[in-house]
Amino acid sequence: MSVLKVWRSLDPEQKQILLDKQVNVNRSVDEVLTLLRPLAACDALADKARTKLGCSFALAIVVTLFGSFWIAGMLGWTIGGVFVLLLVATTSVLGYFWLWTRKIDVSNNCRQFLVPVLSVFREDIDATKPMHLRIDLSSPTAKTKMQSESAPYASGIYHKVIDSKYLDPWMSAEAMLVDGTKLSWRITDSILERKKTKRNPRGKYKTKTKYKKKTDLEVKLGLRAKSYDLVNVDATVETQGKRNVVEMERTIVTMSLDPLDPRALIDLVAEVYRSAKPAQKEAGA
Amino acid sequence: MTCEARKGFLTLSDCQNPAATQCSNCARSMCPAHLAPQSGFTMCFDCAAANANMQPGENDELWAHRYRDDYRTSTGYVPIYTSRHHYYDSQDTRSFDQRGSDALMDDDDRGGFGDS
Repeated sequence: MSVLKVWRSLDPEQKQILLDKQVNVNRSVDEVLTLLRPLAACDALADKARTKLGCSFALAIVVTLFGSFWIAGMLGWTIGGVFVLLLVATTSVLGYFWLWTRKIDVSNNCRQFLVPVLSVFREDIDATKPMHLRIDLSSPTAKTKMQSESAPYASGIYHKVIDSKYLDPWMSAEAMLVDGTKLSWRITDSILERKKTKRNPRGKYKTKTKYKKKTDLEVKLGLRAKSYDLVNVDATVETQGKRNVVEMERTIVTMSLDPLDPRALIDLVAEVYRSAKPAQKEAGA
Repeated sequence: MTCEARKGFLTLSDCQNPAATQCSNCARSMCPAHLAPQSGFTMCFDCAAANANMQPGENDELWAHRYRDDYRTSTGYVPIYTSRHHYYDSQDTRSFDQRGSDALMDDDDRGGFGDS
């Protein structure tokens, strides 16, 4: 199925999300998945199409520039002009669609992290109660997320190095689980982007961009004290009313901007449940 | 007859919807929501997930069931079973954790039924 077909099948809200790249909803988990699954499918197809369109667009520019003179020379400007116009039109259409797929591109966190996590937890989340979900699907290195940029400095063979730091608190969610547990999580990426420029022996300037991403994952689980006893929990536990609130944090460092593995969050939540035992009723209760 | 599917990843609970048919593999009663479309709605998700011939869609229900099974097998995670259906598999041992007692681990010398 083409990306255009999938785009046409989206409802206005889904199309707006792809353009705004922001989701902020209070809905049941099934409704959230109904909203996000088509977006994930559209994004996957758009990613594939964008690569092909980008290559075709670049090729079309070259063919148009050099082919126009060759065609005009062979056929003359009158007949050749028609072919040149056709080449220009083709290049324009390819360019338009390439830019359009860039415009509707959202972070892969949606299809490679959020949708898998919600699919796995779907039956654990109480479908009768709304979950709150806020997700920023814009690029983690968008200008608005930049915290600081260093002055250019030299390092080794690189005569110009610029470090930029970005802060991207891209997701927070709260949900009530079927066993009465309150689950919430928050994910923040801190990104260091290093642009290094060197001059090679042939006198050409080459620039490399490297990333280091530190993901802070904070999970909070409020388990009902009457349902669960917690034993050997390797985390902060605080009693708040009728709940034992467990807070856990994990930091994951990667050398790329690839999405976080859903397993990181699933492990953290499962770790708390491993420590939970059905609560012992007091004698006589 | 109610659906005998068990729902959940962190904890397991019974579906309790009215059953429509039986799983062709495990013979448990199932509601339409717990039959895998990939099997032509003849197998429950648990059996379909264990069947290597069934191809899940991207992040669909069968994918989620298979992910859960793989996760539990690879990490040894055992969910707490909060309901009371009689069908057990290898992932249900925590349902025997009794409230207020640890009956299976009780190892006094008084003997009784089941002790040898």
